[in-house]
Amino acid sequence: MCALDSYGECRIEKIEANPDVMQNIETLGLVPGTRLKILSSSKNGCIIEVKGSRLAIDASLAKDIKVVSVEPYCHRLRPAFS
Amino acid sequence: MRGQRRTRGSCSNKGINTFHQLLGDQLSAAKVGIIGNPNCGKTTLFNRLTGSMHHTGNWPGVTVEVRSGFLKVSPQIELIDLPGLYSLNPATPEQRVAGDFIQKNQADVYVNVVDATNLERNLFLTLQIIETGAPLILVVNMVDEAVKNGFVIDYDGLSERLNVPVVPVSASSGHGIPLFYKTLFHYLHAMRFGAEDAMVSEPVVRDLTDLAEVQNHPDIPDNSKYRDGGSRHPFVMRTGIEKSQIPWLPATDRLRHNPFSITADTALSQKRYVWIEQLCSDLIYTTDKGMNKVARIDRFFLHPRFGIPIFLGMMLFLFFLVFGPFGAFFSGLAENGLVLLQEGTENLLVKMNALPWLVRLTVDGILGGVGSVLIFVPQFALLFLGLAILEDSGYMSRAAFMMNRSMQKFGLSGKAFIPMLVGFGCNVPAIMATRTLSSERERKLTVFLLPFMSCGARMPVYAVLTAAFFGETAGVVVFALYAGGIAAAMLTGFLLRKTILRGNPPPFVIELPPYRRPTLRSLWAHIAERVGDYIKKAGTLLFAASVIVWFLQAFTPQFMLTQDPAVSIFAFIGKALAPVFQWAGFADWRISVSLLAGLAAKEAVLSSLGVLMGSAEGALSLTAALQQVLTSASALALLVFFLLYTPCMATIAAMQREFRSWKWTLGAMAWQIILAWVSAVLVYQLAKLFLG
Repeated sequence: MCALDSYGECRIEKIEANPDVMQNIETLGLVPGTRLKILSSSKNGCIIEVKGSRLAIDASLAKDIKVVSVEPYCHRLRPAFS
Repeated sequence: MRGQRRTRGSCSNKGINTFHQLLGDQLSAAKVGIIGNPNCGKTTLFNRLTGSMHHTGNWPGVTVEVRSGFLKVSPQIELIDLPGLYSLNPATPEQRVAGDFIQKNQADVYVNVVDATNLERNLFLTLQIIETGAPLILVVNMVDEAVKNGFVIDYDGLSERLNVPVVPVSASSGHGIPLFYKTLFHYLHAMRFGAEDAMVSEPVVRDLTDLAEVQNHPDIPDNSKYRDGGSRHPFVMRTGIEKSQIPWLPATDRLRHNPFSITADTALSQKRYVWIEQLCSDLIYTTDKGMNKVARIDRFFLHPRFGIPIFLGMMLFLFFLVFGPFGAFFSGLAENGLVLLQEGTENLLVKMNALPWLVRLTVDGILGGVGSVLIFVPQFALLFLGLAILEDSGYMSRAAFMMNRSMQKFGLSGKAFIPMLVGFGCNVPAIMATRTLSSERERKLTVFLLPFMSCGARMPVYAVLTAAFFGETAGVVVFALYAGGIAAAMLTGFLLRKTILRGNPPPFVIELPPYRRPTLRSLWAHIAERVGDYIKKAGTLLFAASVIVWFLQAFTPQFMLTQDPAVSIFAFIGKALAPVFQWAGFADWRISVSLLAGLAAKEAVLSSLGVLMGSAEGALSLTAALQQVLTSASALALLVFFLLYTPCMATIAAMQREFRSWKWTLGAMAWQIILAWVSAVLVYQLAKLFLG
């Protein structure tokens, strides 16, 4: 389990944020169990693709979102950085 | 539109079947609420259906107010455009307005707009609305973009699974709008007559035959199933739904047993998402394209190191275009036109034996004052074209993301950067846009420092002064002024964060919409809106201000007409005020009273200068008159003061609306004046050393 800062396909395992923030990001599709793809990651934060939309998340929030890597699965897209 | 007959089988953009027109005419008054995620095209649909021209843009949170209008084809039906929201229990004030609206059940029917390219996320809200039992029509918007990106959606299947009527449309091009009318009218009739079931859902793909790509697309597996139309699906009118009938709601006890040890709310959200995921994988066929292009463009614009320099470069280019030789050329033409008009009017009035003071009032007061502002319409339009492209292209969210880290140092999140960019156009909508921020502290802070963003109304003053004193480098000076405004905002943010508004910015998440080429229609709407306001303001407020200013400078305090403005009422006020600006180098009474006039509207500074300088020096142009009074050092100080001092009345009113506290509003105004004065003095003293 690691923070949301690498590349590739992941699944959200746990979100360690306070309830207000949780509710806020839940509505954007970020709940435990969700699959997502990390498109880029820098000290500015990271850009992920989740449920067909792209979200930009700042670094401090990204580190509260714990993910596990999953095998690349045939979703709707090629990897963005091939 | 009325009475046009639609040919069978083709999708006309505007036509509505005569039968359905009649159906619409027979309806009694009804309220229809438009609800949906941010940036899914609610306002575009609203504009399309009501014929209005409300502000749209490609970033989440453009609409922050509830607006209403009436259907073009049947005006007894009221349409209500709500701010976008991601769920029914949202975090920010503008979304709460929409959430309350639906929870208090204030409309007869809800139109839930969803983005066809992003159904999985959008349907979350749809499920929540269905759970409340509200009567609902699902409008799948941007179907043309979905086709372009290789999505094929089984709309009939969607209607069947969700048990609501589904209408695929493209609000920006008008595809599917007739089908929407048809569905809405049938629905309202069915509601009125208390029908249990309503046969509304029609085979839908037939209405999209114009989107030839759907059928001829080589990548699409087999779409014969829905090309044939599918079944007419009866749906249940929703009046109080049994929770047990909803397929995605699990029994309460099952919520407690989940592998993630999460709260019941989160577990419920999870269940909804799982259900949607299944739905989407059953009903949406995707071919692989579209998103890669976005990724490529983003790799450029969101580059960790060069992203911000690219942004600044684009802004610099825009300022160079507006204030450099290109923009100045157009204003030059307009200025020549104004001089001709003034001379022509003067000759005409003299020939007509008009009273001398009336001639002077018309030529110097009205034409000189209002005209000096109007000649900047071309440059103004150019500036707004730039901002409109920024808004419509999808770049706004990206800029917010890139600036997030820098903004955090000043106690703000990147989201606050969007109102700031809007503020370059006009401070009033920018202050309203702070409602999209999620914490009270951040909202207050942003409103406090927004007036330091140079709005479009300040532009003409910059243009006149920089052209008069800095010539070739005018574009750079103006850019420096805009940057100076941002610096003042940052300083203010920093100080407030250390004193009265302690705390950290809330965590930052923002949706990055796909890039879109701005349509001419929407660019035109943006520019027409702003330029229209500008001209309207010139014709009303500035006209009145010019007349008042002219009278005040033409009469002595004893109400005697005078040829010498230096003994006028205005000079009396101005001379009392002027010594304040002694250290800043512009202690001329005409400038101080013009700055006073600027409290009404920022352009009034220029129109007043036009009246005062124009009539004083006779035939001399405003530029020449200014060059006699100011040096480049004092001109720079004046520009800095003008940039930072108290904004116009409309902005102050907007600040008061958001602060809801006179203490805060007056405090902000006091801070602006103090900061402006101190900066102007510093700039003048420093510039004197270098510029002489």
